[in-house]
Amino acid sequence: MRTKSRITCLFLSTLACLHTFSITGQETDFSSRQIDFFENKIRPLFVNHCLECHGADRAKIRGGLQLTCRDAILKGGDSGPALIPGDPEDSLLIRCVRYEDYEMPPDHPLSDQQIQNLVEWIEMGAPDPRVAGAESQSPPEIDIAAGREFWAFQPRGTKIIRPTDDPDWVSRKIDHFMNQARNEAGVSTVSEATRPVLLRRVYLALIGLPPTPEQYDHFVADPEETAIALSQVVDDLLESKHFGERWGRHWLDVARFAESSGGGRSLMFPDAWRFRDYVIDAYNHDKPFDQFTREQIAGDLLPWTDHDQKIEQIVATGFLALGPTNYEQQDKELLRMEVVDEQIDTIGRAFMGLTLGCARCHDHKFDPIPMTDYYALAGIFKSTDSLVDSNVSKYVEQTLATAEEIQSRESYLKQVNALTEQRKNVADRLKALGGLEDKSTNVKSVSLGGLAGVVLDNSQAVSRGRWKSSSFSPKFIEEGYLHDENKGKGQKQVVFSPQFERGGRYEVRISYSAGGNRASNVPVTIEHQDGRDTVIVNQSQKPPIDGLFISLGTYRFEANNRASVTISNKGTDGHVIVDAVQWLLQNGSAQISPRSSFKPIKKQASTSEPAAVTEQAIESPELKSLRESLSRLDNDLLALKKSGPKPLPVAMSVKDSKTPGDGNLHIRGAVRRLGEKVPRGFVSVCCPDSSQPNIGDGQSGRLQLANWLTNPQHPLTARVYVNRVWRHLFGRGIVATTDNFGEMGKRPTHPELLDFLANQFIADGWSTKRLIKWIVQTEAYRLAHAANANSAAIDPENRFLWRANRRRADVEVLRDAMLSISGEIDLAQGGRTIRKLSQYDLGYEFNTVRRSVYVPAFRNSMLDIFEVFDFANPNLVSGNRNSSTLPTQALYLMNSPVVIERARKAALRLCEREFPSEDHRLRWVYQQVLGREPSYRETEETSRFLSEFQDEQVGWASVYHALFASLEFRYFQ
Amino acid sequence: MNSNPSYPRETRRGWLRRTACGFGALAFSGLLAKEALAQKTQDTLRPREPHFKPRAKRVIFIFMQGGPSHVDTLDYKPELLKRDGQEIDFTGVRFGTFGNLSKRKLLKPLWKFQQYGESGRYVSSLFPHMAEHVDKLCMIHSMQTEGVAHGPSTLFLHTGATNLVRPSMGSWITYGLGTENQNLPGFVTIGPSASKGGPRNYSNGFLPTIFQGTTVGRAGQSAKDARIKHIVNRDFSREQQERQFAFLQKLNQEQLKHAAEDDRLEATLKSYELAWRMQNHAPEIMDIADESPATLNSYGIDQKETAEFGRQCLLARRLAENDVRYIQINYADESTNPRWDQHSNMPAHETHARAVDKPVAGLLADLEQRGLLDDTLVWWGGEFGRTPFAQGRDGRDHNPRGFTVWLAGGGVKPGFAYGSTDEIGHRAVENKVHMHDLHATILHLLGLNHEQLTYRYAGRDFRLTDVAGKVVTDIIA
Repeated sequence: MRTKSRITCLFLSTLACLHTFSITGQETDFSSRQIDFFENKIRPLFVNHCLECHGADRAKIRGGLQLTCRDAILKGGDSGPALIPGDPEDSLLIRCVRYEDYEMPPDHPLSDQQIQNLVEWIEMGAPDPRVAGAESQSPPEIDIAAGREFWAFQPRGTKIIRPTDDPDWVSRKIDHFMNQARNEAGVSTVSEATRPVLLRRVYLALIGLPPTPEQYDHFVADPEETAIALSQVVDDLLESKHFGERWGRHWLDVARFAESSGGGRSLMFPDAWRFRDYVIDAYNHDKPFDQFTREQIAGDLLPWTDHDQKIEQIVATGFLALGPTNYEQQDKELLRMEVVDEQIDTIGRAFMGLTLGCARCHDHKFDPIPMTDYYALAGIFKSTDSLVDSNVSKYVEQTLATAEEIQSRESYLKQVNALTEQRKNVADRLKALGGLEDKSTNVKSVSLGGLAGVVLDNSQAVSRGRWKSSSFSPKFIEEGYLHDENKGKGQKQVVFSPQFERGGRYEVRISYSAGGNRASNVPVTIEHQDGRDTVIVNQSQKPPIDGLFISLGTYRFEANNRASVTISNKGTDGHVIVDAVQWLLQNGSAQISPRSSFKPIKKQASTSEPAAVTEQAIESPELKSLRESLSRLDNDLLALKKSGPKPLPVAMSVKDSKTPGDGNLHIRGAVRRLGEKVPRGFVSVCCPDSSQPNIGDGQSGRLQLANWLTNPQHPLTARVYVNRVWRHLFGRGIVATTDNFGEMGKRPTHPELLDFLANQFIADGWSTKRLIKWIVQTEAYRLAHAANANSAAIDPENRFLWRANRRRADVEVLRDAMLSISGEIDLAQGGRTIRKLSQYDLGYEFNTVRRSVYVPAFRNSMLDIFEVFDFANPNLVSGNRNSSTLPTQALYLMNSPVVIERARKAALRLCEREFPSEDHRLRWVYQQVLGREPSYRETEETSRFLSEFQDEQVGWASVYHALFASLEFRYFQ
Repeated sequence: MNSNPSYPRETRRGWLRRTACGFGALAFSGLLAKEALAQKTQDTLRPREPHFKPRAKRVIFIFMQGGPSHVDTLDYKPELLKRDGQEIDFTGVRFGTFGNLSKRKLLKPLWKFQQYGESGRYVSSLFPHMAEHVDKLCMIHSMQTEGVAHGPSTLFLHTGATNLVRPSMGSWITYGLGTENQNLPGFVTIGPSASKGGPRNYSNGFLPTIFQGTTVGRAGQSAKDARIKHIVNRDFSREQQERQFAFLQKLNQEQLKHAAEDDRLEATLKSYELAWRMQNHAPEIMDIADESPATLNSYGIDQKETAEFGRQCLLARRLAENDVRYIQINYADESTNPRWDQHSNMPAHETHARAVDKPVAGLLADLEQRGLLDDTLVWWGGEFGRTPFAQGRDGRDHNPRGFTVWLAGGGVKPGFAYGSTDEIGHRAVENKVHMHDLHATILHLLGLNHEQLTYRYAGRDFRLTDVAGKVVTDIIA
């Protein structure tokens, strides 16, 4: 929606531009025959097929192109001149009507004759007698200087502010600003909140866990003045290791953190937890916010003094890599631009509260951000590698290992290869002597350990639908195999997901035990680097390799990239067997010949005992020694694999591209429509007039961007951040739209206060903890959530904070509180929490009692309670989470077995505890769940309700359940 | 630009913007109160007036996951039959082949086509039951869409974007119109797949959470067990639940009494009442025990092959009867090659056709017989079609350049066909309908102007149709 004044502005600038553009006309003489040709053949064609969208009516012009006169045609639209006189083959117009470029006209292609006429007309030089009207149009220029007048781009108040040793002074100053605003608006504050309310408020705000009844009693009984007693609690909470878990999560909301990509073919991010832990640590250690910002944008480019610092900084750049990218997008050029767009948009909102993404296709409609600014930034991110291309592409990884670790891993792999090679030689010799094959055909089962390549048994695969285990028919790998009972066709499948440490071409094989009742048409789908293929396997016939394996062909795989083999029973005509899958590297030196790729498990070979014994007895000494060395080598290999160094740690990250440089503008945002080159740079309206980035050769410019963002003079970075902190403490930002400080965002309710806070924050070293302390120590923060008719009439939304806001507890708070009260919570910190071998986020089973911040955060599936209670949308920057009130939330709290189970556990714990009286017990429960004492009526009602139960513990479970569902548990003030 | 009277927030914003200084102006008390109220109106599911007189009140979208082949089902191409085996030039659309020219061999339609009904439309032998309703259908043979892999195209079908995060169509529609039955959600999706876009296909995106789709069951789960999450309490008897609920509301009343006046707490208290009503009401709607054997038979619920999808279709009718605004049923699964995705073994289309044909026909007949077809718009289709040339020996690849969907009921021309593909069924050539256009048209039929149904997020107005979309007026009755 545009305002009147803006439209006037546009109009004036358009008029001004008209003048400049009436210069294209070239004096050209055309014969009357040529003009006739135009009048008879071309003009009607234009009128009937083109002018509706490319005529004089400005409102309807598409692509900026007008076909109203020769000048306009030669000037062309967004894609350049529509034609080159005399050269139809190179004319865009001809390519378009032939549907080789744009497909024009879009609905009905022109007839061949009409196209031929256009070709002839252009060959003539495009004679056109029509006179230039008001056809030229140019987009409005954005006036950057005028744009700087907007409050958010103004420099902050110039008063010099020094670091302070007196936090109380800052708090008093904040109250002063707030009182001033209240007085002007004519609202007055309510009284201070009670101690129980304050205690619950700071606990939930600072660490996200409720105070225990002991902590409650201690605080309520503290003889100190409330402000002082509270200050002590606040200091303790700021030092708690749980502080980072609460505030880190707020930043993870902004960083649209997730551990899978979502979208089509969702990719898992098994190392994203490192970024999560980095953020939590940063808050616990009060990392200065400017440094925190620089590391996330350019950590890989910052200097470091030791390895720990180096890897910490690399992990930080995960910020750029964690987006909701649709890696399956087949048009990789487009995919690359979408990633760049997502990065720009995220940085814009997260650090500057700007919606830069709006300038991808045209100048920003509301903010003074020209398209050239967008492409100046895009140049920086196009000079940064974020993708490894493939059918399903992947994010970039950087190693976190030290040089020694890398070396030790390499030498380990060499050892493994050498041993495998030796084993192959022995096995070959053994086979040549006939000592291996005969034996193997008799065995029933084969162990994984002796198989070459990467092998996964059915016990290591993920199955869907009901599969029955069996070891009835030989041969199989390890303990047994699965079959589908010849039932539920199309509903069952088993997925094998290997991890490759090394890329290359692998032969893929599956094993199965053959039999007459087996299906002849089992679809097996191989997901590899170049797509997927389905091979139909006839399981009624004996597998050709060793009577155990069948080859499915050779495919390409990349290290650590997703790959899988899926065996399904869709449309099959008999029993489907699932046993194991083997991937054999084709060009590796350590290749074991296909026919000897396994060794039998001796223990289970006993079915053919007599034969084996006889065989053993007549064996030659060479055979015997070969057998012994084979078994020794197998043992060595197993031992080596057990003791060897683990795979090297990696982090999601980005890298500067090998060929960084300025990029082109994309006309209307289209990937393949390149416009002018745009020098790399930043957001002009936030730059002083002359500041141009100094990006050296071979650099992307990310480092310069990071430094520019954290320059104390930057008008937005500090303002946006202190506003985020304010929002989490009061429930609403000084600028209510935390992620949008532009024209369409809200204006600050306390602009001077915002600037004061930003200045003091910078002066005190960008310390989040100090900032929080200042705010929490104010009188404003201690207000009650009480009524005041006059203030409510003037300011019903409480913009002037004349009282505390009542706020919905975040879902993490709800879940963590229930788990704390039930006594089940696991307060362990950090580390990978996605179960190993999970390669898909959908259907993931989240059974964990860790704090909510450690629950895997996927884009395709979420913990139920997260979904119901407005967990941050992991696809978007969310500085302001939704806070909805829905019947589905009520249904969850009333009926979910998860809640009921927590209530039961809490009751069990309660009943094990001694209390002086039943009233004390009741009091304890209310303190635990609601952080306050029960009222007289509540005590009465609860006791009456309890008396209806025969079993005391069942009664208490019901009380807990009701309290978990009650309003006050869901909200805090 | 936004002329809809139900969105006063926009108007006020405009006013604020025109008054140069936001901060000073904020002190006008009346305005503050008004904004608070406007915000509330927008965040509810209460029914809202459309932009103009609607032709349909609700939508049933029958999603055919994986991309059914149009040239084997509804788009009759005798020329393709003739040119079977011939080679054509093909410009690659996938990674690795993008823009490259290659030769592909045409593969003839594998099923016989025949004319049906008064309209004489061609339908192949895959859909004998649907064919009987051909005079109700409005076929669009000239569909085009974005993306070429399942994920991006499925997201585009549902949200109008292949990658960027956008609200889904059902969310836009409930945002625009609210819903008439407050005891049920306004947007329901039955048996959705968690892959190929997954939850984003029914997500509210940046719209308020109340507009997100409510799932009933999921792909792979039997429709018999499909229900709204947490609507059933398995731990307590009916009597225990009643006692528990009474105690909870007593506690809530007491808490509310002690709280300073607070709309949100009151709203939350009411949400429990609503939840309680839903809990007592919805299972009954989902329970098909009271349907006659004849009805069950007409949906194919009494036959093994059609029972699953038949149940979904019947559930859709029951929800439509109860005024759910947007109902999606999903013929979908979680496998890597979803349902209709026959890259090899095109004959497997037969299985899928059999599973959906009778249930869909049953739904059309039932809706008509109950008079629901007049104001219910039914939409059948996949995320794209399939190529007229072969992939491997007997498969077909994805084709976003031309395919067929059909609409029925709710204001579209019955027994009508619109647009066409080229003579082999590869590209839409005549009266092309882009997915954006289809979205615009569906909104139009519901009385919504797709250019006016906007939501301001992060500083700009968003639409389902982005900056595109043209209402296909020719198909409107």
